[in-house]
Amino acid sequence: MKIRALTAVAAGALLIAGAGAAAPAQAAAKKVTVEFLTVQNPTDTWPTTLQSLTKAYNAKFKQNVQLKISTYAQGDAYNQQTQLRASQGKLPLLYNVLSNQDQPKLFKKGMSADIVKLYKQLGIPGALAPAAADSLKKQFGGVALAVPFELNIEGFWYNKKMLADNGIAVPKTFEDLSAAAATLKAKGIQPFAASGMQGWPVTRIIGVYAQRVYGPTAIADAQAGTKVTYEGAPFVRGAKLVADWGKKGYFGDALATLDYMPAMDVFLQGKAAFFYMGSWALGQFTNTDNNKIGLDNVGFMGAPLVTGGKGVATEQPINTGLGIAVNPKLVNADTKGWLKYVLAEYGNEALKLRGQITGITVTKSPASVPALTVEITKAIAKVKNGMPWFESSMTQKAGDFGTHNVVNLASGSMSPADFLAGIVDNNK
Amino acid sequence: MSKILESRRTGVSFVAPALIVYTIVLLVPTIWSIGYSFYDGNLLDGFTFSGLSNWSTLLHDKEYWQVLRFTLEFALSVTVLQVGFGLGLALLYMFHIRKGGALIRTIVFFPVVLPTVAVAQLFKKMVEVYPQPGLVNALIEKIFGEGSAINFLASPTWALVIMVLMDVWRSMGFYGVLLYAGVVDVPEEIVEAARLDGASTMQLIRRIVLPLLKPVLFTSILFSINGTIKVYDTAIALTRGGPGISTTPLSIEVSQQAFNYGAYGYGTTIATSMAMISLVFSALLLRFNRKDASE
Repeated sequence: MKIRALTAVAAGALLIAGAGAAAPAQAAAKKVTVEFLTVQNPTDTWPTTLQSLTKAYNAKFKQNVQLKISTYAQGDAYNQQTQLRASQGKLPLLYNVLSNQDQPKLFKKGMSADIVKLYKQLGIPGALAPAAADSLKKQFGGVALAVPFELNIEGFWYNKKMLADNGIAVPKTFEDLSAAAATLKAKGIQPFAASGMQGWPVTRIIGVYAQRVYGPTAIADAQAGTKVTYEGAPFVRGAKLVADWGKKGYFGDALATLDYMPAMDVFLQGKAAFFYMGSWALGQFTNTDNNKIGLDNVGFMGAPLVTGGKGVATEQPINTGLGIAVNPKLVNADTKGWLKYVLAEYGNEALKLRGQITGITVTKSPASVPALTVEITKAIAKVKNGMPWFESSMTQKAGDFGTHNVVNLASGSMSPADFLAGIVDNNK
Repeated sequence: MSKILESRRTGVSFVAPALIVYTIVLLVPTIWSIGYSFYDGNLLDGFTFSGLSNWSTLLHDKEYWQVLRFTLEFALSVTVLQVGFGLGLALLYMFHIRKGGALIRTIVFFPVVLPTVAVAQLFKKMVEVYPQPGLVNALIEKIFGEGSAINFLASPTWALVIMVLMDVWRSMGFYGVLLYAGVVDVPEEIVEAARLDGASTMQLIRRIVLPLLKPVLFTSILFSINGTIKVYDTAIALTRGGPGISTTPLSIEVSQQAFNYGAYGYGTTIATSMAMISLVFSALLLRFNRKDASE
């Protein structure tokens, strides 16, 4: 009886001691849930990289941050959800930005942080690449309202072997490019791969051409409508170029029904020589399941010049993709440490995991980086003046008009004048 | 028992729960939406009263009239074809397919339960041009030679045809079963008497079956037209409203205006116009049915 009583007391004492020992460890590992509202699926680049960083943060700092990914399809579904949450004051800590017109409204309501200031407040100002900050300020009317989880350069990619086999030098100008397309077409090779279903891979050619004629401020000036308009000569020439290429069959027979990935497949399966796209596609180019022409066979020529135009080679289309906004109302003692770690380390982790170039400074290069990624990083570093994309300043309606009707422009069922007039009409 | 069932209070207590739910879930949002059509704004900017300006914009919006025209073309084509084919199937089941009728009805009904996106992928593959010609283009190239493939979904006219065919294929089994239920209700004695009098099958159908089937036929047409005016998933899954906006129906336009362009007021104006169009068709059909019944 006495022994039983003593055993019970000893067991009880052990339990109490164990609970006491556990209590400090449990208090240090308070569970904090951080939500990321996004258009990407959980296995895509941003969520995967953030999850990896969260795991590393928890291990390094003995924390218990749980990252919740909430995915909504880009377009109506995402816009609806974000607008609803904004009206309820329930935007999460991280979320994909709305349109260039709507995101500043969230900034005024205190739901979207000035990223340059945020990086300074977190004590990591050097982690934000100046080119990215500059591009973001241009995008949102003077204030950088998104974290650049991507830093992209756009331009024409080309199949090196196809050009070499047909005696074509890498084009430096749009005139050279048109001549190259004519040579390829004559030999039964489709010159350009493009997604007419998306529309923007074709409309961006118009924007780039106009900026090569007028200079890098073409889009901003056209939006202001003072020195030039979207119906002005530089844009008319760009629209005529696309109409001409379409008429000559340079985009192939399936432009209107090709979606984003099938168009990329046309290029990566060696069925077209040139492909206008941004460097976010590096993830697909380095994927051997998709890339049948080989990574070494993919070249990047950037945006060609126009003979007699005002554009120069150090001006290139640069953007930060669909940025990630930070809700300053949720930056607090629980989330600040995690946020600082993620915003400082994202560049390193994205490059390591997915070969993704971002607007966040890389301080630890991975052991091996594909040669094409190195080439693109150098190309971005050479850019002195980033050129925005065609729809960057337009209203959503004008942008949609352009992307929906560019296939009609390319097929000849809509004239360049009508196409540009439609953009101006819808840009009010 | 009959006293209880005949009392007004009993009737109200049976109907009340469903009526309350219907009012909260359907009537209140509908009236609220109609109210929004007199306002401008969105969830970010707030709402300001704008009177009839959205309605004025609607009347002068070329894009709206183009989208309306497409919606009506689609709705009327699909209604005529799916109810027509459904009627044909019902008569086939009644007069020709006796053995294995239930199995055949099930097989024909099967597409009704398939998800729209899956059916759209099927039709997309069938009319594909790239990366390889689909079934239809393979047949075309076999008959007319290589290079004669047609990019159906790149043409506004052909894209409409493919959309109509897709919806008709999906839904005709449903109307076949619905109308068959009506055909089966035709008294056997009348049919037998007509046969004894020497009526042919066509005469039977024209003089006896169709007149007696009118109420069910009318219901099917009403059902069909109201459903097809609201088409959304077929357009999104097959063409995304393209090329351009040539296959964009009113429902997609509502969504675009409200959520992409931040014009909730104008979006609900278009939605209200859809409801009005449905009402007009329903009223016309009801009137026609009443006139017919009184004759």
